[in-house]
Amino acid sequence: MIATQTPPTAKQTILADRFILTEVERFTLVFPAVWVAQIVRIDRFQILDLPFYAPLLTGIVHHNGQIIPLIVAARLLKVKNAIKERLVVVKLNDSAGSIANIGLVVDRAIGSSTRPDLPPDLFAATSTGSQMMMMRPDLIPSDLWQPQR
Amino acid sequence: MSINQSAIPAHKEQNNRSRNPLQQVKDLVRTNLVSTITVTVAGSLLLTGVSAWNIWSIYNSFQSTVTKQFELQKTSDQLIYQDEFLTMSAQMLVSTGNLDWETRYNQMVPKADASLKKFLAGITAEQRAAASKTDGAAAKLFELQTKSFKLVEQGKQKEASQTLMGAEYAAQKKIFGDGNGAVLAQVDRSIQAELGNYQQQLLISIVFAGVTLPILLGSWTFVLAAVRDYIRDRLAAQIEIEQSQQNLLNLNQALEVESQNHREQEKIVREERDTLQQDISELLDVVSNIEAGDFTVSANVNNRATGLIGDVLNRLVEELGLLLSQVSIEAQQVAANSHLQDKIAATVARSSGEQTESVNQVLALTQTVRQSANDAATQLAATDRSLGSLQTAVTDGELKIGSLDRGIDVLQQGSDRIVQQMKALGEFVGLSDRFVDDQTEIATQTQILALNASLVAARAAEQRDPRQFEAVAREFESIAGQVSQLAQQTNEGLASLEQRNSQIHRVVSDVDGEVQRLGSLVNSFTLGVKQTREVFATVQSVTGQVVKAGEVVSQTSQTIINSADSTARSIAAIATLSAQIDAQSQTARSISTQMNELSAGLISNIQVFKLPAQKSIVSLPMIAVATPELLSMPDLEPILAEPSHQFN
Repeated sequence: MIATQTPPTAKQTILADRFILTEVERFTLVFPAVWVAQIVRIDRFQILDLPFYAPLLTGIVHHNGQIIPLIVAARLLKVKNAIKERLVVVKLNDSAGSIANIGLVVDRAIGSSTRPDLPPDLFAATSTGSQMMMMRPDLIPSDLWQPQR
Repeated sequence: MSINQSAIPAHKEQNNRSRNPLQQVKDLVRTNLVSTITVTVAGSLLLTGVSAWNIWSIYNSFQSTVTKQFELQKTSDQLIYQDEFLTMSAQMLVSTGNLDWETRYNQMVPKADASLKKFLAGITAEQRAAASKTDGAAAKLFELQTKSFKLVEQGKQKEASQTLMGAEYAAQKKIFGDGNGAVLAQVDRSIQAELGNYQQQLLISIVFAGVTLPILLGSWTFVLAAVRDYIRDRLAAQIEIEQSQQNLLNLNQALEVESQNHREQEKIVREERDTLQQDISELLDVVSNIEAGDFTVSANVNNRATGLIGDVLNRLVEELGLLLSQVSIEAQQVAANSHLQDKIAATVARSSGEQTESVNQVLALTQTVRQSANDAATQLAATDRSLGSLQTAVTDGELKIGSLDRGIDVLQQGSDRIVQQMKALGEFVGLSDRFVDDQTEIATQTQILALNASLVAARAAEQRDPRQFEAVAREFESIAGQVSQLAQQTNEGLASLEQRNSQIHRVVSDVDGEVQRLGSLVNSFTLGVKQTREVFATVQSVTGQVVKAGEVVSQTSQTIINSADSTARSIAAIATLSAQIDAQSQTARSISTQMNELSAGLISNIQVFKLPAQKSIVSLPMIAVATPELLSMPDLEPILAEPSHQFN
């Protein structure tokens, strides 16, 4: 892992070149920092189940006066993962486009990094095979918000 | 409908005196029903007619009075209207000077005259006299009005007005009005008086009708009740007559049937008497044959009384014949058994001698058994002593095993203490694990805070006025870096602590395993000792059982000796008894000879009777009849079957 726990330096980077690194099972899921509103921790009992929606949409949670739909990143990456009692959620902001204001449940937050410190192939449009993946809106199916029953 | 007075029973006439008046009236009505109905109908019609005529006349008078009153009222109203019309027309003429008012006045005058004549024709002479008092005033008023009309025509409207508005005109007007009011009041009083008369007459009629209606109702009630009772009595009498007639018919039929039955019974009795005489004759013939000793005859059996007697007689003859046949067979069997008994007595005498020899042999054998039992008792005493020493040794071994068991208990207690200490160590490690988890949680939270802080710092740095936010951003970034480093260091320290905890876990698990293995060894050793103790206990119980068995064998040997002695005494008694049996068998032989002679005599006597053909007569087996006592002795049967049997 190249850019984990990168300490801030005197050299300031703009927000567009900064990325948040998270761990999901054996994968490192990378979020553009410009998308990330904040990283929060929630308890499992706070989640309200949505039984009439796809299993990918785990539920919703009320946080700081907002309703956040939760997606388990492990299911997004199609790896088996048991939901813990205390979860780490990366909440996205309005800049995320079609996936704005949702929360992605990850195993843990690794840290932040800058574009030069990350492998160049991470920014390819179809980079899905390696252990490090960039979060993209097309990873989330478009019919996620339609009730299944 | 006619009432026959003689149909009333005489006793009812007598009872009438003691009845109440109402009942007497009822009886009187029933007695004179037709005349009562006639009187009631005539009275009802008369009273109804009187009431109807009275009400009709009152109604007519009332109707004419009311009509007259309406006509007078209408005429009076027209007069008042016409008087007011004339007065107002005159006043309007003198006030306006318009001669059209005079024209209207003149048109109304003839109508007012006609109404006045009509009114005067409808009142009485007295009332007309009272009304004539106003004629003067009316004429004066008419004169004044005519005068004023002429003044108006002459153009003297002012004088005309003064004429009609003057005091004289007003005084005459008042006289005329008061007079007319008095006449109308008098007419009204007259009409009210007539109406009062009619009301009084109507009230009298209603009272009359109210009085006559209950009388009529009571009369009709009595009449209807009497008619109903008469009809009911007549129906009851008719039903009774019909029932009596039916009873007589039934009685006549029963008498006819009874007469027919009597004739048939007489015929049957005659026939039965003839049949009975014939049956008695036949029975007398049968009895005569039986008296002659012929038991083969039989009487006729039928469903009559003589048939029953014949049946009983036949059964008696049959039973008597069977009895005599049985006696003959039994006598023959007694003769045969006497011979057999003679043979058996000889056999018993021969066997008694052989039995004496066998008894001597048994006595010798009993002596041998007594000697052998004494030898066994001696050997058992020696065995008993050996078992006593073995039991002592087993008790010593058990004491030693007890001391070993106590040592094992001490060892097990020590092992338990070690296990408890290891559990305490495990709990401590558990606490350490929870501490590590808490620290990990804190580190994760710190890291997330650092990331959030760095995001906030980055956004602040991208504000449009970088000069204002640059310092804040830099500071945020610095804090975020420090917090991140701290979190990383905490993570590293926790990782090493976790590694150590894992090592402690492994060591504790190893020690726990060793202790558990030691515990299992101790348990297996304890189990072995327990098994050894159980084996000792088994040996001890078996030794005790052997000692008890020796004692039992010793007691049994003594019992055998005692039994041998009693057997010798019993054999000696048997020898004595066999000698007695020998003597009794000689006596039995002489008795059987006598019985043989007696049975031969009995058979010769029975040959005199003529018996029916032999049926399947139940007879006892010869040996059972002859010697039942012998068969009840099972030991003697093989001796009889094989006389040469001996004791070996």
